[in-house]
Amino acid sequence: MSAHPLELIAAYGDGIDRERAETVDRHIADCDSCRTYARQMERVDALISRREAILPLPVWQPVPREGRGRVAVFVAFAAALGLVVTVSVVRDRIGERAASSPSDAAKPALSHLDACAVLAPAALRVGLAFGPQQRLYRVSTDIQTTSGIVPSIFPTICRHGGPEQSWSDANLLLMRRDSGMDAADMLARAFGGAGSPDVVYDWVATDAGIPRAQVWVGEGRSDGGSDAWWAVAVITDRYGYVVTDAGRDTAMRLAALAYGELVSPGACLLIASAATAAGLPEGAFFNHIDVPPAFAAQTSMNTCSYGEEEPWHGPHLFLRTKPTSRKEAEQLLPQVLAQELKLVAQEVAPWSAVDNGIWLTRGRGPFGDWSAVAVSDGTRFVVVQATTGELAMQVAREALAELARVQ
Amino acid sequence: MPVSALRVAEWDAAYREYGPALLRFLRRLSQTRSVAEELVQETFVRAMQAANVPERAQELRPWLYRIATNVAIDRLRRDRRFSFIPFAGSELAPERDMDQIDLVRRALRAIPPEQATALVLRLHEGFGPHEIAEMLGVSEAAVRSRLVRGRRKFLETYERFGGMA
Repeated sequence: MSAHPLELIAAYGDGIDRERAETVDRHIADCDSCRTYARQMERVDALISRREAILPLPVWQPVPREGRGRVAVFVAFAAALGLVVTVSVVRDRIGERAASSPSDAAKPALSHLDACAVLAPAALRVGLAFGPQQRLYRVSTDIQTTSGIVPSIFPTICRHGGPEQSWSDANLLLMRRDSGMDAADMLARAFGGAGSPDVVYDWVATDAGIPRAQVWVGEGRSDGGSDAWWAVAVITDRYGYVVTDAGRDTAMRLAALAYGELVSPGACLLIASAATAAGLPEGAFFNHIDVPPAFAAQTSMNTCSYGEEEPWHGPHLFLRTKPTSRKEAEQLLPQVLAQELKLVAQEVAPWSAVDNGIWLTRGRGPFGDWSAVAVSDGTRFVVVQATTGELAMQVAREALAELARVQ
Repeated sequence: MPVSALRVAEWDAAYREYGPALLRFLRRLSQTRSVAEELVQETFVRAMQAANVPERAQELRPWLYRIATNVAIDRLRRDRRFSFIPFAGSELAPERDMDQIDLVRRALRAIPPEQATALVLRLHEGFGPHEIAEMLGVSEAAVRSRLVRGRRKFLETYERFGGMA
């Protein structure tokens, strides 16, 4: 048998006929990888077989209960959480933003830039695959190459690809322009220059359709030419970044989409910044909800969660990307939960307005209880969902402050 | 809602006899103990509302497992209505002090519910493929297929969550 009988190996523990069992046994005797696989399957069986502890039975009411009344549990939750003070802080932040309208040139960037938060939506839009073998990695800012350590001029780097690091993956190296470094410095220091095993030849200025940006494109080689890739470097008045990919067109498209994310932050970039500003540790994991296209088109909502592998363990932000009046925001609220999230109705308390432009709700999701805060200042509309009302309010507050800084 | 077939006292006895095993079965597929407790209660609520309660005592156990499996699948499906695209990954992945049994539960919840329940019925509860097929009203071939695909999916998911198989 030349092909590896993986299906049969996986079925072995359930009992297979003698002829097939002998076939598997013979193959395994001569095949290291199949022996390993068989051991893994045995380990899977052992893991799942491990008995759960004996638990005391909950008290049984022998008459079926109707109407569990979960909603009632959540009524008046705002008062129970004592959020009045926090609500007032949010309101004050809205006032601060309304009072300040810096010019474009003076506007600062988000307080915390996360390359994965930029690359995630861009990668989705160019159709890069996501799954066990293809995912985003936060890359150490000290990139180890065959020539040594790439200077840490990029505070945040993200890579989409497989387990092995490569410039031919979709890499995004993000640098704040306020570092004072010019384009030539950035390009030279990012890729070493002539003589380095990782090098971009012949940076050529190009027009990538990115307004007010200088763009260069170059062809890269690594490891003596065995790995070929393209690099696109973008310098704007506020940002500097490099995108690499095996394909020139993909690298160019990713660079343009990254620019769009940076100048008009989406939910991923906003929550990455707001969560960090709220004092949460940088999330090792990142999730983006696959928003139904019709809903996204209808509502202009995009959404992202941050921080934990289980999406609902980390704060979760919905951002409406177009101006929204308070009335529109209020009308959208039921859709955010009922239509987009498709939560079961009885597990979500009705939204309750606690102040002008601030609404609260609470529910029970697949990974436990959660709370949500919706805030509209009459123009912007943000909903933050988190494990507690305090955390949701804190992140919403920071998200508004961040939006105030960059819009 | 009428309580069918068995009297309340008999349901109480059935709950005490089969409840602990069903609770352990459901705990394997639940994030928290309270969810498992809720599901075992739901199982008996559905059983009491059913019109076709088995008359023979030896048929009651697999029948209750069938209901519990459906309850678990409903719950797992509902939990999976959220369509997330995971961007998990880190070159500098922090060490995660994840209890192994929690990791197993999480991986089971992350794979298709039909595969997860088949695996737990087979490996945790000790039912044979034929018994599971009868219990769920599907062919034995379908059960075997779920078990094979489930093992492979579990392995992939468990490792993605950081477990070592």
